[in-house]
Amino acid sequence: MMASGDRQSLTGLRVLLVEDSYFVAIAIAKQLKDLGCAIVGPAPSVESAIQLMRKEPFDAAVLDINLGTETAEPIADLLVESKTPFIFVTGYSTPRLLAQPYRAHRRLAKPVTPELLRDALDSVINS
Amino acid sequence: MDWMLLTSSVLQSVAALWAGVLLARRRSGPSFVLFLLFSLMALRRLIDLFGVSSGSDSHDLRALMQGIVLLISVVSVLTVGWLEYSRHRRGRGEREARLLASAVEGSATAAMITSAGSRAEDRIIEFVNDAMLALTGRDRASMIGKSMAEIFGPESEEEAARACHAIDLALPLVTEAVMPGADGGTRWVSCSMSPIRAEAGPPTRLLWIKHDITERRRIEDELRKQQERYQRIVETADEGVWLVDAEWRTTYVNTRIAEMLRTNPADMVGRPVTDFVFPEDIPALNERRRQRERGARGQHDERLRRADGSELWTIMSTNAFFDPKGRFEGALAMITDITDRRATEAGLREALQRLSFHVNNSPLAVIEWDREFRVSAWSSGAQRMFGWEAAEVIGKHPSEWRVVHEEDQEEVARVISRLHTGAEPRNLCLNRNYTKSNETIWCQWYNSVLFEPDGSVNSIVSLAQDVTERHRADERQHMLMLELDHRVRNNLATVLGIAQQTLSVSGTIDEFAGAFTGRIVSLARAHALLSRASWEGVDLFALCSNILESAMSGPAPRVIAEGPPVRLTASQSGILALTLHELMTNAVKYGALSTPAGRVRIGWASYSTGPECSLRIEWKEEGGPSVAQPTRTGFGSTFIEAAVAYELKGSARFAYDPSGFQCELIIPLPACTFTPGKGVLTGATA
Repeated sequence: MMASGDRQSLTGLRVLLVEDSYFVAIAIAKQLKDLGCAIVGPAPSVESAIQLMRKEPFDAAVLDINLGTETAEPIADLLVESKTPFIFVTGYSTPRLLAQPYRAHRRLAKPVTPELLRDALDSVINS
Repeated sequence: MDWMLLTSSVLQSVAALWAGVLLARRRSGPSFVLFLLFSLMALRRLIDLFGVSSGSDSHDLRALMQGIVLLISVVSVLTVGWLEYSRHRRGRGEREARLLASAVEGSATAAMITSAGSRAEDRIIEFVNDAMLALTGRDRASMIGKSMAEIFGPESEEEAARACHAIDLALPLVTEAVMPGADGGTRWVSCSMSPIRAEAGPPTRLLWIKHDITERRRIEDELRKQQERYQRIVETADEGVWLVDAEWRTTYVNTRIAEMLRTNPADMVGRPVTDFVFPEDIPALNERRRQRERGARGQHDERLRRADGSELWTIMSTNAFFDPKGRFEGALAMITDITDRRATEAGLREALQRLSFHVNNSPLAVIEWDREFRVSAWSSGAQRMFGWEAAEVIGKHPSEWRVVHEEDQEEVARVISRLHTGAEPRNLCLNRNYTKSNETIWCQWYNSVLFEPDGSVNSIVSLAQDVTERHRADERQHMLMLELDHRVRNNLATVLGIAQQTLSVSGTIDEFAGAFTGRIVSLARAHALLSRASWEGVDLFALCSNILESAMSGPAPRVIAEGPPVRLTASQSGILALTLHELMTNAVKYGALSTPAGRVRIGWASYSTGPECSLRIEWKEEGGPSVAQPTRTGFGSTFIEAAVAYELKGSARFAYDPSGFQCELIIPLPACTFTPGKGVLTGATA
């Protein structure tokens, strides 16, 4: 029953999605929508993500670590500051691009599945 | 009787008697003359006396008597003169004999007179002097009258024969023999025998003069032994001994030097030293000879020529001799054979040179450290690798100059410590080092310790290899592995996204399969190009010709692409590959390429937008069917607009001109890769 309760808890959850790849962003957005989430974004860069964060409220975030020529760390810093739960998604198997504080953070390897997304978001929201 | 006459006669007789007594006592000439004179005067008085007493014709008798007396007087005087002369002569011979006897008597030379017997037993001692008594240690009584054999022992056959021979011929004989000495020991004497003989005839006496030569013999013996000792030393010495005279001619050589020169001593004596050197060495030899003649001592390496013409290398130590006036008399050289040693040395030197050559030509840095880990040798390779010259680092500990990277200093200290304590006789260390020009290089160090027999460290040798390139390659390799992982995962995510998107707009599974395959193949081609370019960007023209393929090739290409070289990033090339694919698909299905006459022109150019640059790409169709505004937006246009905006921060614009479809893409470039303004644009959408 916890599972259904959890699933319900994602419904209406406003999720900020930061992902530089167009097709990946579309795919994750669709998965999140299927989980009942409302998408804020997606944003392909740190700059556009920060603009979105100022304009739109959200409950959680899904961050692609590698945004081409930059990383999502500045966004993560802001989220930690505002105590907003978030998860990372990344193409890398190792957390080498991340600074030390984020290496132990909840992280999903691409490609992601709706189930993985749901469990990861669940855990960061409830912790 | 005439009393006066009688008295005179008596007095003269008494005087003659007195003179006779005197003569008998003194036996001298004047006393004899006086005796005769007084005797004659006494006789005359007697005659006178008789003449007076007889009386008659005494006058004639008296004259006769006076004549006789006169005659007797003259004869007497002559006789006395002769006797006196001969006595004088005899007296001198006796004096000489006495002098001689006393000289012999008192002489320090032992002398002895014996009878002239042919054998020692027959030679009876008649006279010995004090020195002879001292020599034999006897008194006179025990010698006089004894035979020589009794006193001096029997003589040998040979001695007897020689003595016999000398006596027969009345010749002196000198011999040396042993005799019993005064102290009971034996003594060596030199014995000289001189036969003594009367006016003629065989010798009657033998004079023996004996000298004690025991001391001389002892010294001679000592000298002889000493000489033998020296001779033995010289002959058995491992050094060659070579004596030369003032003309540098060989006077003596020992066997050793002759062996060294492969000849024998007899063949060397008398020959000049120049016979034993190589002609080219003679000037140097002459110079040294002049120095020796001036008194300079010295030791030097000298090359000699053996009898067989081969080389003999020696250490020659030469001393010159000078006479009391300082004139050069000759020289003595002591010679050591160092031919083998030189060969060994030459071998070692050559081996060392070879080693040194290889060490210095090795691409590795070869560094030797002493027991305190201070640099003791620094090869040319080390200089090439690190930049410092040997003189700048010899004697320094690695902590004393900036050679080890700060972050690796702890690890290097640990490695050194393990070598030092003997925990590891050899080890490896990969660390960063600084060069003199302050560059950081990665070095692989191979260290090994040379221990003393007591286990302490003698030295440490390190070979260092600059592995900076390899290290970079390793890092790049690692990065590539991670990047590959990332890209594969991203691509799979992208493929998943494309699949989902394609699926959402496909009516049938066949439609999905065709569209999906085309998109994935375009993406794959863009990847292939990127891969070929080592992920460093793809040229736009190459991308066009790859995606549009056959349409751009052949004698009459249906798509013509023109523009300056533009390097696209991985992200740009992926999106543009799909964009070109969608535009092409659309053109073939509905646009210009759906009819045989239709053509597509692609052109691009850059233009400046303030500090940045933008790339404008135009797609222009012509010669196809008349174009009308579409009633609904398909996947292609939706994707192009969204993806170019989302991923490339650019924009896409479509124009549905009746003469042909046109598309314009504006894409910001991170940097202007070609001169802005140049390019090939159709101007359709400008």
